[in-house]
Amino acid sequence: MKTEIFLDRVVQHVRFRPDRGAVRRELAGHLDDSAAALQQAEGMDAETAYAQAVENMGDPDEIGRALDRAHSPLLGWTWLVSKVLCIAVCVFLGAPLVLGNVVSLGISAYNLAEYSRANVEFEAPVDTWIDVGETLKLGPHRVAIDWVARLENGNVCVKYHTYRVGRAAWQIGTPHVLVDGERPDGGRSNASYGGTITVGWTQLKGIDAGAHMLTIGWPNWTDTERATIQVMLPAQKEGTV
Amino acid sequence: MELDKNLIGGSTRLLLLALLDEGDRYGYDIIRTLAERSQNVFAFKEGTLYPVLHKLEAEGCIRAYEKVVDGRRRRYYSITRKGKEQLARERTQWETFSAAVTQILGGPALA
Repeated sequence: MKTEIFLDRVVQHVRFRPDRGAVRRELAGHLDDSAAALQQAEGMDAETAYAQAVENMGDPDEIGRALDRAHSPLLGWTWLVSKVLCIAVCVFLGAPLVLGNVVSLGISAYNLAEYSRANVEFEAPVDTWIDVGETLKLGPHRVAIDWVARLENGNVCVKYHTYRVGRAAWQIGTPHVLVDGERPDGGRSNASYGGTITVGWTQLKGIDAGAHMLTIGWPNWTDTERATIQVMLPAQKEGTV
Repeated sequence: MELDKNLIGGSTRLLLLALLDEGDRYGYDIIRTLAERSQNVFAFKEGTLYPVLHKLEAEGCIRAYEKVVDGRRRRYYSITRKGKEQLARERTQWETFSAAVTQILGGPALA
């Protein structure tokens, strides 16, 4: 019997079609090994060796039926379908999640770079610049106070960024700024860009030229690790107002 | 001497698991080793080996993987933890069985 005919007869019994290719490859490999050994040991020509190798295999129908019993179509399809479903679920649910996070991180990185000192357009020239670089810890939220700038027109600008180190169902707002322990009455303006990392700043208006102690954060928040920091704002340089 | 196919039938699983416990092998290699070690007593129809291997694989006693060696793609089998446990059970059964057969064939003890 020819090799191909033998292999066809074996695999036609396997009802679970996706496995036919692997079965066929395995048996074909066996016939190759077997025929090569026969050619070497018995000095047969290729055709005779393959015919003998097929003969040594036995009845293709018997082998095929036995293989079919080992390859249950029900189990095979259940396994295959669940595998495909699993991959589909991962792709359809996971891809947007991953993509969303990557985009959000990208935007955050862009915002951090874009709104660093060099790129901020102030309403007036900067009188005093203070690099702070301290982080408030409020439950799962972290609020890093980056810098404070006193402008020549009397405004004080506080730049911060926030991120989370755990799961949180709530958002954190803009940090408050007290001047010498009092809420300033000159009004303030806020701006922020959200993302995995939120970048924002708050600007107090009409702060007089003297030296002041700024309290930045959430002074009423007592049951947390670090809710406020204090920053010394030196008096405005002479002759600028 | 060639044995009746059914005689090896009962112990095929034990022999296959024992061979694979020594290391990973592919089908043709298993047949050659069985023939060599049994001095051709176990020279059965080669194709009947594969359904037994695939059954063991479906039961989780062995695992299969394809590997290309010397330009030939072969399906290797490797014993699993479950297969090792099964081997231990079948080995005990076989030893009990063969000891009993030997005793019966030896006739009543004279002691």
